[in-house]
Amino acid sequence: MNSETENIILTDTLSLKIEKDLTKPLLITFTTTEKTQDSTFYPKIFIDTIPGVKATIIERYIHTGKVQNSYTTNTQTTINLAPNSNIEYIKIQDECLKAVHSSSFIGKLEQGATLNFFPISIGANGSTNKMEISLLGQNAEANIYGFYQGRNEQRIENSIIMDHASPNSISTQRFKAILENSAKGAFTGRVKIAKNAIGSNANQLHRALLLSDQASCLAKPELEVNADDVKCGHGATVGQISEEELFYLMSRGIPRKNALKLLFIAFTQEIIDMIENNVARNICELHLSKTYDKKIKQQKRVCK
Amino acid sequence: MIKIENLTATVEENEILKGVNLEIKKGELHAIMGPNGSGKSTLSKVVAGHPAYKITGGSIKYLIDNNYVDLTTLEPDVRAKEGIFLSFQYPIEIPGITNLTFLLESFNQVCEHQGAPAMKEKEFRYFLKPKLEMLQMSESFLERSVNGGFSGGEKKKNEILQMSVLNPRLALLDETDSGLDIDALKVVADGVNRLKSADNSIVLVTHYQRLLDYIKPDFVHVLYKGKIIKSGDKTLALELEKKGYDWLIS
Repeated sequence: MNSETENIILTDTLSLKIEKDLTKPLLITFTTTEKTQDSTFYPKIFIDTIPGVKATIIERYIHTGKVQNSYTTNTQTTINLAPNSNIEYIKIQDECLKAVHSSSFIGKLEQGATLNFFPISIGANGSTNKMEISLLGQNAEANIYGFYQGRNEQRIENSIIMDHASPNSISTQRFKAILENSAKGAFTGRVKIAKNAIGSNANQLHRALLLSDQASCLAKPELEVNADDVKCGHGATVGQISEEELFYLMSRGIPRKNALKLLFIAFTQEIIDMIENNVARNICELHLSKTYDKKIKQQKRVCK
Repeated sequence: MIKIENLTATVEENEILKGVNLEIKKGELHAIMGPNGSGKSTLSKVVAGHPAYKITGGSIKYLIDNNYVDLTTLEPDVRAKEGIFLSFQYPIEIPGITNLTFLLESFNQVCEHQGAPAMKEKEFRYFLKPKLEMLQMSESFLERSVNGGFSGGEKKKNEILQMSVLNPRLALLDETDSGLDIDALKVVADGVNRLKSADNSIVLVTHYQRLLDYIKPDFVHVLYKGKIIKSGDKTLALELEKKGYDWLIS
């Protein structure tokens, strides 16, 4: 049990209302064990806030069994942000590698509310994350900073509907992915701007790092703009580890293995650094750090 | 310190070095000059072990523990640990890693190899302080990502900072003067002069004689079309400044 967080451990439904500012992040952990086999779970979370509150919430899925087993998690999270509330929400999916994880995240933001959402997918053989954010009030702001990674046969799919329903609403979608072996990633980011949502600003960027010839990633932006005087931007890149960066680090005495580790950390850090709460950021880094060494083994040797 | 014999090298199938011969002894400072595309940068990258450059002939022998060993079999990080340092013409930006993390990792890797004790962050910051001062860099540079958003001059200072941290035996400074205004040039040149000793060797790769007003070379070489076509002392650089390269080429 972590004393730096307020802890909740459950396997079913959680309904809560945030009525005051939380100094410690609220950590909601769903745990499966080696006894979990051929089952399906339906965890549900409902969160409401009162106006003006500020909190950090972590929703995470972990597997504690030594043996990998197959099961399905089908999650649903709904969060309603009252006017001027500010929620940092981190979802860590670190299931066992035989599991299937399917999640739906629905966020509704009233006037002046801010949601910073961090969907992070590390585990599960198949992972589908649907996110639907509605910017219902003026000046509402939703930022999604996502990271996912896959190796072997992992499949990861993220789809977003960002609905700008009010004037001067702001949204960001920034995703990073690291895929290796035959892993496949897909990203669909739809931005809808309603007729009255003038002065809205939406931007989207998806960057994938492919570590093998078999890994692939499909990133698809979709814009549906019905208002004038709005700003919308999108971009997607797919690349490999930069040989120039690798050489630069090695030319300073850093061995290839350590240099690659630094470059992986650097790639994900841009997302993780956006997490404001230190404890929450550390928890994320802990989940990510164990994966770096595995990836390093996958890199082809190109030096020499 | 280093003996380069009949070195030929290619990049993407193009032969850039066509038989370079060069010997640099301990305590010497050499300048390699030459027009654009003559192979100056290639030579320094080959010595540092850049994977994109293939050695097709000749040899590079480097002094390790009083023996000349074949440098080309060593990985770039091992070359660095053995005291070879390349100051990049275009230092690479690596967002997401702080300059401090990078410098500390680099320093400790080299220390470990050379049997020196590693440093912890606090001690390392203390160790860096006079070096930052020498280069007129503020400590805030340590918290920024590696070369991220640095101006041309700041990047070059950062290279010399790394040089001062690693204390190399053979430093190759590739166009360290390019992109520097006169004040930054003086600071960088002053840094290099202070790092110069009787035990190390420095190679300045430069396009212009300007840098040589501040750092005095013992030898000047002209590299043209992949070969050293003329060697001399520092008066050669002045002659090149006056007459250009044409008189050597024709």
